[in-house]
Amino acid sequence: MSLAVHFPGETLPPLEEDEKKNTTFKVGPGLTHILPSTLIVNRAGELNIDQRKHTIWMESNGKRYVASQNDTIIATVLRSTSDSYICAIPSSNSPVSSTSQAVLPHLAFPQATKKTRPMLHQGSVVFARISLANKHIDPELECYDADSGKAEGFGELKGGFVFGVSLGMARRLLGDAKKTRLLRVKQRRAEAERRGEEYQDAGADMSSGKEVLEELGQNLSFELAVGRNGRVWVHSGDPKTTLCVMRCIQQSEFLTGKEQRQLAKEALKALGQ
Amino acid sequence: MPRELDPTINEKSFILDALNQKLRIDGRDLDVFRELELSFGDDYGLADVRLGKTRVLARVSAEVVKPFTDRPFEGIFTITTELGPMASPAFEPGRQTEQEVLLSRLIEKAIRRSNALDTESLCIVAGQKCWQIRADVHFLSHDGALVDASCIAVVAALQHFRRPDVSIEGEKVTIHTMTERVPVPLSILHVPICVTFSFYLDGEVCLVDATLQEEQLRQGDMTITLNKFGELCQIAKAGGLAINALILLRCAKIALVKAGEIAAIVQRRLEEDAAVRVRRDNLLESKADNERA
Repeated sequence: MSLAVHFPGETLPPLEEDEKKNTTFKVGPGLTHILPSTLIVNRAGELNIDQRKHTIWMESNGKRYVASQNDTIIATVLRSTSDSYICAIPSSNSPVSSTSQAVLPHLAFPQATKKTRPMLHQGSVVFARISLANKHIDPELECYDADSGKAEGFGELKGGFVFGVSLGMARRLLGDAKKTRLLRVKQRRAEAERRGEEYQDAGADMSSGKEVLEELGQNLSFELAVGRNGRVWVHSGDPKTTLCVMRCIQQSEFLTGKEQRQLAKEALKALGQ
Repeated sequence: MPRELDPTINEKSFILDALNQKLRIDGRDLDVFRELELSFGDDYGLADVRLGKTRVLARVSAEVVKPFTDRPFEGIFTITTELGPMASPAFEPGRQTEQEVLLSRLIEKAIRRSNALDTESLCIVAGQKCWQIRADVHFLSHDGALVDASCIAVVAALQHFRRPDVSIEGEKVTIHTMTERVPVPLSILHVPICVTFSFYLDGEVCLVDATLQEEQLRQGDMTITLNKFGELCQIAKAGGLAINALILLRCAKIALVKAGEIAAIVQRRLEEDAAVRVRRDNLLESKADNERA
């Protein structure tokens, strides 16, 4: 139940018995399940267990992206073949990002037919969902929402600027950190209760990672798309605004919520807003 | 082999748009270098240069060899550069690309052919023995301005290097170990500094110290090598956008200022390093003006 750092190759101790018997856990990234009931860590990081949702996964920051199903990502079109676009999924390593290839079928757009498919050129940027990810073949992308079949923001991103942030930062921008944090607070509280201590929320001014966006969004108008591959697309009418948003996001990675708001305020002042 | 990803359409038009308004992605002014960090290794002749995310390491070493028969009074000085996948996954090992050839020739011209190192002082016995000084340049991370960074690394490493002392008695040559005698610095005649300019928007905008992203989008580039006294060593412009004389003149003026600034930083870091060494190795005792037992 406790939060612990684990290294690749470690075998996890058996999970504590739940009140409800025979619940099955979903195994998330960073863990390998070896039948019948052994879990081996394959990525260094913090172990997270969500008892309510019955999920278990490793949380760590990184720069190299490995495709996994249902992730929304920002990819670049490399070329077109007879029935699909070949895309590159860049990671966020800098200055030169490593890439992996993916396939985006011509018909994987909302209401696309052979005649009405969108024309993408080499170097176009698309916001897409990974519909198929497998260790042995290139991942497949889709540019529509799986439930509604509509665009819902997927598709080509026109104009603006694309830059990289670490994968952890990208997840935080997408709101994952809040979930993780709530989970942690809950776990720590339970632990403290078990020991009979008073629980103090030491991470009260910890960042959810989005304060900077909330602050900027109140004063500037811009469009933003975050891909789980660590790419962020920002678009606004004015290059100065776009650059301001970009710098604030890049600089806020290791700041607390308060500091992020401060940073955004100063940046806005410098921008003359 | 993974090819370098070209800038996307969005990045391309945005960067050029911003440059049109005199804005750079990293917030610098058009004629400002990234922060230059220079550090030296524990032993002599190792310089580590960082320009933003670009990182270059230069190692200088010396050995005794037979001089070339047509130049019996001169030592040998070589610079080797190799762009490996360490710098960027786009560089293949073992195969020379055009970029690599241009780069090594530029550095060669800037440092070796401008006589930065006095090769005649490397002669030990005419026609028989001389020092061969070798500078190996390793590119650790590539974020543009490789020429500028490697030039700084090589000149810094050359100034930092000390070769073993040599004494000659008749025909007998003795090479003293570093502990036996204080090693001697190389005789450096001048310190050349390279400044590379990148041109955009038909020459309307010119940048110094372009990042990799900016380098990929430039229409042309030009490298000016000169020392802090304004003595020009080379102007290299291999193709690209044609520029007019006024722009060339403006670039030359900027280059002079930058060369002075960079040379001053190198000098200051060398002095700081020397001060640390004196304290660490008790070098004060090994000076000739001290009494010897």
